[in-house]
Amino acid sequence: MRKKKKGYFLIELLIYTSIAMIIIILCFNVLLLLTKEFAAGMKDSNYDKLITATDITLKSRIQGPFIESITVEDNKLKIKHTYADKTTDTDEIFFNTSNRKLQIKYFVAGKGTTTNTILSEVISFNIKDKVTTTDRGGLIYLKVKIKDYGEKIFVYEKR
Amino acid sequence: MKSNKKGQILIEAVVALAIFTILVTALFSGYNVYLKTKKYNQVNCKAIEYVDAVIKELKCNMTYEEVEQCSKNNKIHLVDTSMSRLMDTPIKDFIGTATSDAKENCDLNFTQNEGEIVIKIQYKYNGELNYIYEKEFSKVKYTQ
Repeated sequence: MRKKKKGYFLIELLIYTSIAMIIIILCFNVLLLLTKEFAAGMKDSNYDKLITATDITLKSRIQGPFIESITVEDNKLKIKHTYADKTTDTDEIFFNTSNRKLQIKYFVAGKGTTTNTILSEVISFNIKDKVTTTDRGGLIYLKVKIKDYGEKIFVYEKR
Repeated sequence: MKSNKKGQILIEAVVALAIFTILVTALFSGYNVYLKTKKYNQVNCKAIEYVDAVIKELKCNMTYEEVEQCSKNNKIHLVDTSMSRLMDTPIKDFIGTATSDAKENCDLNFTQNEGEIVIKIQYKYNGELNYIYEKEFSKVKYTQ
């Protein structure tokens, strides 16, 4: 009777350890998955902030004041301004293939032409001036493909 | 007394295992909720983006007469919910009267309110989520 009890205790311990091991392995896998998801979430969140900032910059340029015309030439968006004193200048939004950046070239009084980066690590950039009816102005579509993020399409009304 | 102690070890082990299992189940259900929320947010973002683009298309790339013509059907369906296709194709080519079999659908419902056409846009996702995003706008008010 005593011997039987001892053997039973060992089997119990073995079963308990094996079940615990399975649960611990499962737990570790979930923890690993959650860590990866958290890292991916953080990355996505950073990209979302960048996308929002890009949207604000593009919107302020495309729908800003004193715009006379918006044209697309050679995959470059040209925004021509005419001010109250009849002076004119042109902003240019383009994809710089040498450093893979989406950039804007604009005129600053007293400084001349300045180039600023809107978005980095851009893989491709396409502009579409979509006008199907002449009386409504049409839309400007900007398709940007960003490394590690994917594709994003911005749509703006031409005013 | 001695055998009693041995029995206690088994009970302790079973209780510990039970608590551990409850915790693991809670962790799994938490992860499941997280996945569902993530999917919901993704669909929500896509819906807002798409409906916004459709409104802009209706405002800027369709005349009032064309919208009026569409409104005669009361309800029309957009055959695709892809932003890339919307970018390359005129909005008129998206309009159909047959319901799409796709998981993601977009419908336009037209109603008359005090002489003006009110368009209710519904974006539906009927995959794992039963999701509907609605936005209403008047063609007259927006294009004046």
